[in-house]
Amino acid sequence: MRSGLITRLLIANRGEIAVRIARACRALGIVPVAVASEADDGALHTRVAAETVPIGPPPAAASYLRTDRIIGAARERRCEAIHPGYGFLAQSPEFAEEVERAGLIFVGPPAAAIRLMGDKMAARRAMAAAGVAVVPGFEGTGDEDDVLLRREADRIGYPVLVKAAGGGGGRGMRVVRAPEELGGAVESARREALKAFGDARLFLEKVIEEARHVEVQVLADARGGCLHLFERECSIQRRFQKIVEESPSPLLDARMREDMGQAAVAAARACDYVNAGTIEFLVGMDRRFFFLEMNTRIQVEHPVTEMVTGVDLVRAQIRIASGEALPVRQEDVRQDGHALECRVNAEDPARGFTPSAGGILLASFPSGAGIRVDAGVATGDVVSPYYDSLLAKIIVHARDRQGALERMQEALGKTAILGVETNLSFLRTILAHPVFRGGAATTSFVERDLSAWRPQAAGLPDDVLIAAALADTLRPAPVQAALSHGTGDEETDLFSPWGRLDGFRTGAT
Amino acid sequence: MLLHYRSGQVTRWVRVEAQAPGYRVVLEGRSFDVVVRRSDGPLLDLLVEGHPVEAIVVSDGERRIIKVGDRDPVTILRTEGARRATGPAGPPEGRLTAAMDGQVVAVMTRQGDRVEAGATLVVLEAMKMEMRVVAPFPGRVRTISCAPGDVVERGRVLVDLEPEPSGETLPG
Repeated sequence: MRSGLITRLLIANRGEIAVRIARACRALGIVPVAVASEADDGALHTRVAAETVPIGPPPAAASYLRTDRIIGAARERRCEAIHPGYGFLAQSPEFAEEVERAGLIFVGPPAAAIRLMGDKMAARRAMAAAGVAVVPGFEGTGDEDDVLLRREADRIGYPVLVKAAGGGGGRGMRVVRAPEELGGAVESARREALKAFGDARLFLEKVIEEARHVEVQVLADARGGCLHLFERECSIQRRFQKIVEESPSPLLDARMREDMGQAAVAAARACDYVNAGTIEFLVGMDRRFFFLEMNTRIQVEHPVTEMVTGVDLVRAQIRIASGEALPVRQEDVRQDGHALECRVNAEDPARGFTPSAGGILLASFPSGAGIRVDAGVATGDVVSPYYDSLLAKIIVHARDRQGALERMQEALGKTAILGVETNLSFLRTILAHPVFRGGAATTSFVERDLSAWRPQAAGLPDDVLIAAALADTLRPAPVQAALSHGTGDEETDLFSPWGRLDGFRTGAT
Repeated sequence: MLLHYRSGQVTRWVRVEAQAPGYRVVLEGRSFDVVVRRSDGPLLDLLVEGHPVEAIVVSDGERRIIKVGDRDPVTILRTEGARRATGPAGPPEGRLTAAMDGQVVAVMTRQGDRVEAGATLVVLEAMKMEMRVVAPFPGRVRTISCAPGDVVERGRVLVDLEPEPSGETLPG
């Protein structure tokens, strides 16, 4: 059966993932329909789609999170399916239910699986019941008093993490290093969790020191098929946001890889999972691994898996959603060579990685054998301050890790995104760092080894000045009076909507 | 053609003269022979003293962003001259630095002085070129860390100026 059920698909997202989904649609002969907020009028993801439906003002709550407008747009444009991408509504069980109530196909897992995995306490219980090791900890009803929590924390051993049942991506989470800090941490975590998720329930987890973040991609169809596509190592994180991902993980040996793959399949089966999903594990220094959470959607870092396995995950998602069987058998899935991904974000390393909004005067990406770029912007586009800062993902594939590292360094050097600040210099620093190159980086790496890093004051080398002067001589541009004091105070205004985010961003992890 | 560029507090000038088969570029007294191999939109492919320089140069008003080879891009401002470089976009912290390697020929202010934007604070000289370090905003001189006769490196802090808005009774 071809994807005959779906002839038109609505992409309920923006940026690079919307572009990526549109490309998969075209490959399947499906008409991609975009949605766009007013801030994204004319954005790249609308240019690659066949048509675009405006869905409201810039703030996500008024556009990309408006279930009614998105489902309305899908009906109006006669789409049979909706792909949520990542972030926004991707992990809302209510959205998945409403899509199906409207008679449309939700390209993702059943609402019940999203709901179960969205409740971190229920997910822990379900995984433990399925025989998957969870991080040592305590989960009760979620509203235990301090006395009981303190007793449990003593049993688990410090440091412990206080986590919110409705949390994820670092939100509603507190590290407690000593018993006397527990009461305050519980109180503030409860308050934050209630406000952020409308759910004050908390549980405890032991802090796995020097952990590696290794996750396993799974695919399941609606006919009972379920397989894994090996791991991705995502230990390079800054404030719980992944920056560099790779497959295979330099940590795993064949035995561990097999064990984690089987645990991931068991986890997916335990929640009757269908479609693409990711089981995140923490691996301790003793190489024991523990279930952390399941992401019930396509991940930002899915391309590294595509590069080593040759399986197009987004196409597989759409085919599975239209009732088809898995595209491969477990025994045919191979991990071929080594893939790396770097996330290029619009953020200013010189100002504590604050998001950098503005016009992109030029975007130029590398190309060639073993290089793939999933970009959400092009020359002339505007980076607005409303959404996440991901501009593009640079992905490379080579025969081995050393080759991939070299290819990535070269690819980053050829990447030019001029007009907004980016983290490219930071990415290059990571790629050159001996701890990362040695495959030994843990989730503490960025904080410990790179906290003192600052972008080099570039200075003004002679060749830069000569190039500027020649450009101005060869193509004199009229000096625009209105911009003559650029880089000044107006930037502060552009940055201001971000000032309240406290370093965390919602959505994509 | 004389061009001025500012990077942070540092202003530098470049003179470009046509000279077959390309250009003679003078950077603060030093001369470079430059041949333009290709100029295509933002791409600029040069030979500087025989060495290839592949650059991407984009502009937005005064702003110039230049990426040479695989290095990180550099953002500078094209200004109309040294005096122009003292506009309101100066750094809030007011640490004024030497825009070039040179010798301090005069210090025109004293610690504690109240100065207006545009006031000359220090005069530098190098390769027969005089450069004035001027107040980018009205303020009070916190410290002076140079004296006439000092030889200073580019980027060295010369004066620390504390921002202080103009009083209503003061002119300008």
